Amino acid sequence: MFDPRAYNSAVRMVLINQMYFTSIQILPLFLSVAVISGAIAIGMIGQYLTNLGLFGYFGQLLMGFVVTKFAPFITVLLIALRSSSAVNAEIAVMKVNKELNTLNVFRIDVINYLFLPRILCGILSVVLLSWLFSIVVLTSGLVFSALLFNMSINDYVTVLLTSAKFSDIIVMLINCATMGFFIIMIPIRYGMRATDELTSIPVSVLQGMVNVFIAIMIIEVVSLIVMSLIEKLI
Amino acid sequence: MALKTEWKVGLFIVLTVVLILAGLGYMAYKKGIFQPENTYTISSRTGDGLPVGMPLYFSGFKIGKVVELEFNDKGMVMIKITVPTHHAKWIRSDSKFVLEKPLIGSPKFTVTTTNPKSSLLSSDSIAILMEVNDINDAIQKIQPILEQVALITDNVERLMGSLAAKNSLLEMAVGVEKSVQAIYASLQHARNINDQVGQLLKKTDEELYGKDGIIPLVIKILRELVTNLGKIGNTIDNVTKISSNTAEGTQDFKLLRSEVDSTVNSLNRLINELDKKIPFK
Repeated sequence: MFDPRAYNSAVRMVLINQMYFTSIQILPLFLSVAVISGAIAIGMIGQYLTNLGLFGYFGQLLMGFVVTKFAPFITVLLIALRSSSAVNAEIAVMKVNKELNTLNVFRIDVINYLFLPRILCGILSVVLLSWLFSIVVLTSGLVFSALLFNMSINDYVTVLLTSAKFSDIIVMLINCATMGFFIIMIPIRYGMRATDELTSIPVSVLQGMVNVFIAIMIIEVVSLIVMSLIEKLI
Repeated sequence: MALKTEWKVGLFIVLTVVLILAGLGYMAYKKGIFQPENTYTISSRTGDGLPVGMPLYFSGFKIGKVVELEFNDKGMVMIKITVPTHHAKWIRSDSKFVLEKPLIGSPKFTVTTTNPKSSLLSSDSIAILMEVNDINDAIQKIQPILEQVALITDNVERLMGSLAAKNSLLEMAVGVEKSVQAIYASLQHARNINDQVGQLLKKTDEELYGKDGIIPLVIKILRELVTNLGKIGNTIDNVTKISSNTAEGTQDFKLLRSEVDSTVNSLNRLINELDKKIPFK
């Protein structure tokens, strides 16, 4: 992955195509989900905090929950549902059709040509889309805070900046990259497990997706533990 | 098509990366990461309650933070704090650095400046940290109360022990058993005297005011006497009517009649007085 010679024109083309399928094609749906879920989340959080008399924690909840937890989780879910299953099925079909053997015969490195661009695409897509999701959520939060809670732009920005921590953002980015890696790596592994029979394709996709969701949960828990440890250390 | 896809992907990556960098940059700028900072050194006998990264407050605003703690050769803890240059004007030579350790809640590191016209604190000079320890202050204030409580507890314990050993509260209070017995005897004697006086009074009361007592008897006799005198008065009236023609006799009877009336009235008054003063049981 870190060897520049691995990225020849063919690999770059696969990477660009994968990025297009994973990040660009999903954008309309993704942005709509971001606006709607962000508005719901911010409206509910703000309302509950107001009812409890804890509106002072609004910024901390926005940054600590919506940006660092909610945004990566929704992004990973959307990409896993759409791209992980596609990658799993694609690799399984190639395995059944013996396309992987053909690539080997032509001395084309399967890992470099097939797996590397997809994994890199997974990491980049989750990191970039999570950040985009956060920005969209916070922007919709700005509008809804003004409408629902009469917060000015200045107050909103100040609340967010006061609550924002670089450590949280760094952990979030690492969390996104880790999830991006696993939500593509696991489907590739299960796609490679397909046998020569066509019926093994859905089985491998099913197993791959189940394990992707388990991996997402495990990574979320681990990132929570890491964040709490960092807070204790700081 | 290929070019179009490349453009779209490139635009997406560039725009998103720019957004990330702009967001992080704005956050860093607003948090004052790019601002120049002044470093000050404060000495303290202990670094307890002063972790690295602890904020420094001035008038409730965060103006700096603890960046380093060092232990020097003299056994003093040297605390290095950084304050952004635009906040350095609040740190003067007479500024007091105080570490407040409240009874409840986490410690707070504050700086107060009483004279804003005094010279700015030099980065080379070493200020002294003062500690306001609410916990210790509270313990010092509570100490005498605790001693009193301990004393009271001792006394209560002693009392409980005495109660367990002695026969009564009086015996426990007096302490000497013979004295207690003497008091008991005196009390018994007083009670006997009281009983005797009570019996005597009861007897006297019965003799004077009882159903067959002296006073009711006297009143009864007097009432009978009044009745009899009334009858005599009536008889005299009749005699007066019969002997109206006898002038001399009439004069004598009239005199007798007035005397009887006077006596009856006097006796009635006396009975009324007795009734008022002596209520019969």
